[in-house]
Amino acid sequence: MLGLRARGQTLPIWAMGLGAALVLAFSALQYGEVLRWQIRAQNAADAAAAGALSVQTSAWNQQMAVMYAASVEEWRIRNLLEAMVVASAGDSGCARGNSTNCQPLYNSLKDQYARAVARYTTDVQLMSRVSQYTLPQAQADAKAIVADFQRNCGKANGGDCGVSYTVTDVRKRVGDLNDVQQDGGAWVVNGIAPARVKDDYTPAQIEIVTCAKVPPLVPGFLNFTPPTFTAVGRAAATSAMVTEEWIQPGVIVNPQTGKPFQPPEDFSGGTTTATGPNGHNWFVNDFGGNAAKAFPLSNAYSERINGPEFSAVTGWWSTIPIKPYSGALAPGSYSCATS
Amino acid sequence: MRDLVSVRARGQALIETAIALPVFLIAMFGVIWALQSGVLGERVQMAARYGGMVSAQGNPFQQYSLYGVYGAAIGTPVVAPCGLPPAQMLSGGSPLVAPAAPSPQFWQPSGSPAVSGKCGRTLSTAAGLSGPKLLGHAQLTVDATNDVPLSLQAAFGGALTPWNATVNQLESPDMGTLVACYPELKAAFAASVTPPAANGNAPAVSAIAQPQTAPLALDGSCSA
Repeated sequence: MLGLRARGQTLPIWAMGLGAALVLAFSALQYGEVLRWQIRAQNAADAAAAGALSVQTSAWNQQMAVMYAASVEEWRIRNLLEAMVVASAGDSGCARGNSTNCQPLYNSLKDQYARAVARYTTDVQLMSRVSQYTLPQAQADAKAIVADFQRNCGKANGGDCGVSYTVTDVRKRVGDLNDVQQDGGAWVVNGIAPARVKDDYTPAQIEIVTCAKVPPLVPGFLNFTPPTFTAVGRAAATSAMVTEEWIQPGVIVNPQTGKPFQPPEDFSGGTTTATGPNGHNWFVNDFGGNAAKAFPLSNAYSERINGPEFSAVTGWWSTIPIKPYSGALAPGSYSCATS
Repeated sequence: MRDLVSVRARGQALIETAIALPVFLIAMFGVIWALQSGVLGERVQMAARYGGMVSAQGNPFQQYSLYGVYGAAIGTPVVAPCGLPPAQMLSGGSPLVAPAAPSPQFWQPSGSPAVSGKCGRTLSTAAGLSGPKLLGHAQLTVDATNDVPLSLQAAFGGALTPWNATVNQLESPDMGTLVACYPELKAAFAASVTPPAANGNAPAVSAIAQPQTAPLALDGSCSA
């Protein structure tokens, strides 16, 4: 009797062990698949969110470039006007006291002034053209970019064909980021109330949901059907100043050329080496020269006349990821593709 | 008689074990392979993920700066390197802050993982856009493989299991690209920072009668 019972006693144990091993293997595989798809969906959401607001940041970067060019021109015009005044008075030694010889220099300055104003006019018109971008356009463009990302899926500039993309929200940004980065209209020190900025110059924020229904790796067996897994990625991004510069173009050297970004300009045509009070050469436009000194009486800075400072404060825009901000996702608020 | 049965039973168990043990071992190899595969598949996606982020914000002072604008307008364009995830992220110690320690050999891919990327620009002409839009673009691909146990190779059709992840990242175009692709912007910037030599009569100074509003025209070479 004992012998009969003993026969085949290891087979059920092996069978159970084998079954457990198979379940373990499939579970590990399925768990890996779940993680992989979860990250894949999140990658797709992050990439789409970053790209969606790039149109807004690109428009603002264009504006910043034009504004800088215009400010260089303004600085030049100011110096030219100053030099014209001095030359017209025969001052500053352009003719060493002989005012009649200042006329050719004055004419040259006037010619350069007219050309500078013409270039400045071009800059201003260009600024007008690149400043037409509005917040509603940014919102519409963001949605169109994401829709295009979906439509071009699988192509070099498209998204992930395995997921569906839904823009759940795109609006102007409110709160949370450091004021200096947040503010698109003025240099605002953190801790002070931000400036009131027109909507069209308020950075936008966007939230995107990606979703994929992933079938199980193992099809149903016996009476058990593994459930379909739903991978959901959720990402938000906003336009932000990712780099901010305080640059003195005449002083800071361009590493490519080894020369200052904005070299000094001599308007005298080499006819004079005259200098005015405090050593200032009226006919040289020096874009740099940070000669600012603390002015203790008014707790401010004073500029020496021979060292007027041309400071350019620029901020360049790109998109950065932020935490999703819309709260819990409402059921049905996003589409979900079967991968 | 009892002894005889007992001896036969022992032999039966031995035969059953001899048959079941290899099958069980194959299943266990399957478990090991499944664990390695699951982890590697996830890590490949993670490498592509951080590659995408790095490429988007990899070198902002070359991508977004006056340095980039000057280079594109009047000098040699500043080319920002295409940010790629370090391959060491998958094969051991990473140059990134975390994970600081190399992964145990068991979790590493077999062979050398491949990381490739392509950065550039793309033009979106999607319906609903306020106009054709120039965008920065980075495509990052990470490939890795793990070994399939010998006993399972027939079932899985090869000695290696390939894992692949690709991330397409759109971003704000770098300033060099932005300036180079809009000739009017490039020309105006270049003229203002490096005034051309006087030629002909100076233009008459006049007030702006009507502010212009037309969008900037894109250079033909950037339309493709």
